[in-house]
Amino acid sequence: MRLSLAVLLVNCTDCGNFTTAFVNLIGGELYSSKMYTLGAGFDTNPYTAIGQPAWTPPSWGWGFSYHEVGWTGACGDGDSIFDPCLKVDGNGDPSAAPRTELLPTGMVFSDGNQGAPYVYRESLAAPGANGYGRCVAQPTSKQRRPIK
Amino acid sequence: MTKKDAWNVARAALLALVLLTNFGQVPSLADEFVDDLKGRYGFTNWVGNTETNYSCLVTNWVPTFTTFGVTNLISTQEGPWANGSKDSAYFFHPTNKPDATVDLRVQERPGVTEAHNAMMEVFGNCSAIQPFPAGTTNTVKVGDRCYLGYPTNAYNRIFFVRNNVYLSVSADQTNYSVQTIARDLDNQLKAISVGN
Repeated sequence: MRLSLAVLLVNCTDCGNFTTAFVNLIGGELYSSKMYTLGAGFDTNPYTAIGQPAWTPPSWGWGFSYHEVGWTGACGDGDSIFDPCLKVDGNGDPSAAPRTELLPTGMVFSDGNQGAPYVYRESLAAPGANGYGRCVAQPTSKQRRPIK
Repeated sequence: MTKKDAWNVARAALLALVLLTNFGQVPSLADEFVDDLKGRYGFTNWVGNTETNYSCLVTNWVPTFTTFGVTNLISTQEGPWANGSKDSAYFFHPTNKPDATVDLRVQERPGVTEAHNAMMEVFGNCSAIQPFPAGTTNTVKVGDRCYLGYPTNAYNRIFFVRNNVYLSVSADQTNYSVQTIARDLDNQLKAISVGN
């Protein structure tokens, strides 16, 4: 992680590392870790990205090649994530309106199904094989980057 | 102090130094994402290839900003040149659009292959849907290898490698094309590479 006074934009990797670094500085135990499936990105539900208007898609549309967050423990399904990069829909079905912004803090990544109660995986990933199916925890990507 | 005590003190000091310099760092176990990305870009088909045979590598390059009218950089973060590598970042307001901010990142590497790998490493930290469209498919021809960021028809983000240098040129506004700046920078690199 390289800190700069002139950074214009941040992405999820930056946010995941800021969160991990600052939480660990005060005694927390987070890693920065990724979710993805090799060979393809995954579709997402609408979200509100950091610094952007609410529920506005990025310039490439609703999807990620990967997503990175602050993550507890083994960075697996049953562990909790802290994602300052975006707000998901916390108002019922995350794939449908009405929507209420919810900052994912201490949210379990996956309970193994897409239905209610809605945890992080189905809150971020769109329903179905190209969304939820490809938004998979990748514990071997977990790391704590050096601060330069 | 006995010789054994001195040895223990030295060991403790070394351990403290290691802990201080690597405090809390846990390296990633896997870099499979970048490897997979390389497959999606057909990396093995073009890695190390250049448009023409260059007479030399680019070494310790500093862009000439005055050629596209920029004299007041907002920020310059020029890294040290060591072992043929240098990472630099420049931020400026273009003369023809002072309310826009352009972010120029330069990664000089000791060889063409290393520069291509540097580009893939950067792409491996982009969460946008990939592969990015090739510049040639959108009639943007800069560098030996060129890709466009999103939205592709805005041309406000251009990534390219010329010889052994990877450049990322990005504007914060989608209504400002960085094509002219990218071409100018590319021409500077090309001139050095062919020995002019």
